[in-house]
Amino acid sequence: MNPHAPVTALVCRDLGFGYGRTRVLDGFSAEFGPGLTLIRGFSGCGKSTLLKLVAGYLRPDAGHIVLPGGFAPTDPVVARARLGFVFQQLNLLPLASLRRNLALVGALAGLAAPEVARRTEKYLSLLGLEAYADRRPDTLSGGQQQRAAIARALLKEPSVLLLDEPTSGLDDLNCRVIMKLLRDHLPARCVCLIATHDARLNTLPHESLDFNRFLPVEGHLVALA
Amino acid sequence: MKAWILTAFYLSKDTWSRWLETPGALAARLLVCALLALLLLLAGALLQLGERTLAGRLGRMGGHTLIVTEAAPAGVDSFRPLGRVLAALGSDHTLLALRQVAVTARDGRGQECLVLAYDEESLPLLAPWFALAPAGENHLFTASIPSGLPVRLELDGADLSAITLPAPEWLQRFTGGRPALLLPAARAAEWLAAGWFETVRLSANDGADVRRLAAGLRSLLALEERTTAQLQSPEALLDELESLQHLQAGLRHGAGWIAGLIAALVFGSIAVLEYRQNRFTLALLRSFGAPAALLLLRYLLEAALLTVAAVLAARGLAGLLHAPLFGLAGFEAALLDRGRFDPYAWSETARGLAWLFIGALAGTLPVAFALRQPVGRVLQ
Repeated sequence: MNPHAPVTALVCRDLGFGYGRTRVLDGFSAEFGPGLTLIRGFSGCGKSTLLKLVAGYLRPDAGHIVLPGGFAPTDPVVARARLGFVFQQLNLLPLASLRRNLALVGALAGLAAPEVARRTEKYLSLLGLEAYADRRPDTLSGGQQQRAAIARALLKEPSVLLLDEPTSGLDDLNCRVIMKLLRDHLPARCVCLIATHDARLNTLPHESLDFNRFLPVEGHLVALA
Repeated sequence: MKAWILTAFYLSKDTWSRWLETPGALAARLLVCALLALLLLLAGALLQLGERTLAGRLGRMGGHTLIVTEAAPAGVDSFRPLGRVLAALGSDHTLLALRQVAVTARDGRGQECLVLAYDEESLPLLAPWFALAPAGENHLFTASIPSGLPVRLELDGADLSAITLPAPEWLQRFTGGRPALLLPAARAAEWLAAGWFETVRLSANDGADVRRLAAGLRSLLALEERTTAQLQSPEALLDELESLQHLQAGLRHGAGWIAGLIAALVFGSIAVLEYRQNRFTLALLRSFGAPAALLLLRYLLEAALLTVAAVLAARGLAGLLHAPLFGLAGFEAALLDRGRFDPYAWSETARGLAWLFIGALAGTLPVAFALRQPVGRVLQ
């Protein structure tokens, strides 16, 4: 391996993390290249935790993560400019219109105002939200809010895009719009991790990681099933 | 820069929305802070008015003045007048020494007048008064006859002419308000030979330390073995005034500290409750890369804004209550004139109110700690 070659992959090495005494990850290592990777697993298996660790929203107890470009997740420039994250819920600032939500993130990313405006129009249009640009999130449906959150994450055209259950609870139509966007408009060389158990996303061209093997499924759930 | 402006704009909008949603939290902070500020201001004014009242009393009683009295025995030619002895004390004071002899004079209406002899040490103080009368005349200081009039006096069986002069306030110490005929010591020699009662007034000049003057005076009296001399000193009153000032400083400091603590508890409790309602938004902003310092700054500015508003309101209210409240408490009307002395001036109140301000800002500490919580623990 050439040590001077640009780092394009997202690398996790020997990651360990737990909530109190409950261990979620122990010695987890993986390398994610550009393109889509679906992280699959049952609820509680640690998919969301992995994404938060990658985003720098949680600190691992052990191991380390290197983002494309050689950045550490806790580097302030990552959160501002190089990372897009879509949470399961509560993604948007409630008192700002969609346009303002996107403008704020673009400004924090250091984008010039005309570029923010251009990208705002582009992604709102791709997600069918141009008519709602000046509305506040509380006047939108759940699907519209989730699409807006994805537009906001893509606005930075990040090198790492993390989506946590982006289609859960959405109807097929909303799901297809999101899938089309991810398939056709994912920024070049972007490492995109999607934590999901939604089978509808299987039609996307993707790598896949079965996360269940890292944390045993709760035995009583198996029995109940 | 634009990012900071947009973030600050959003935060101000968020703050305004929160005020509208929970006006009770806003009102509680304003009212508690205004009440504390009002109490601090009124307590500070009360202490300052008390101090000024005492200082006024001290001034009227001669706060910078020492009085020494001594009775001189009869027939001792070598006994030096006290004024002459104390003239050696230096120049940071004025000295007036008058020796009362054992005879009295009577004016034409039969009113008794004290006879006081002076030496040259007292001339600097007396000269401006003597200049009001023609040279060579005797001087009768009296409040009962208009000044500048010639009067005939009978003194020890002999007639004497004198010119009346107004009785100055400082002479009261020597005469107790009675008319007094002042004679040079040389003219009163025959009566002085029978002994005298001498009163010496030493007034410290502006800026001079009356305690140091008193200490020097005591040393000199001890050195000269003038054991019968009696000293009246304002030192005890000065001590009282100083202890009052210390007490006032301590009380203001303590009251300010307690007010600050209460403000910190109230502001802190409300900030924590509001942070809990708002933590998703703040975490979301942090996830976009908004600096935690900027988010905390919003809470600091909010606390500062509310404190300033409350202090201004309290200051206005204290101004309205000042004259009626302290008038009822018995303070002199002249002392309550805020044109002459304003106990609510910033220079007088800044230190106490600073504690309130610090307390309100310290109330944001729990938020500062909460903002250290990883974003991933908040957002799902």
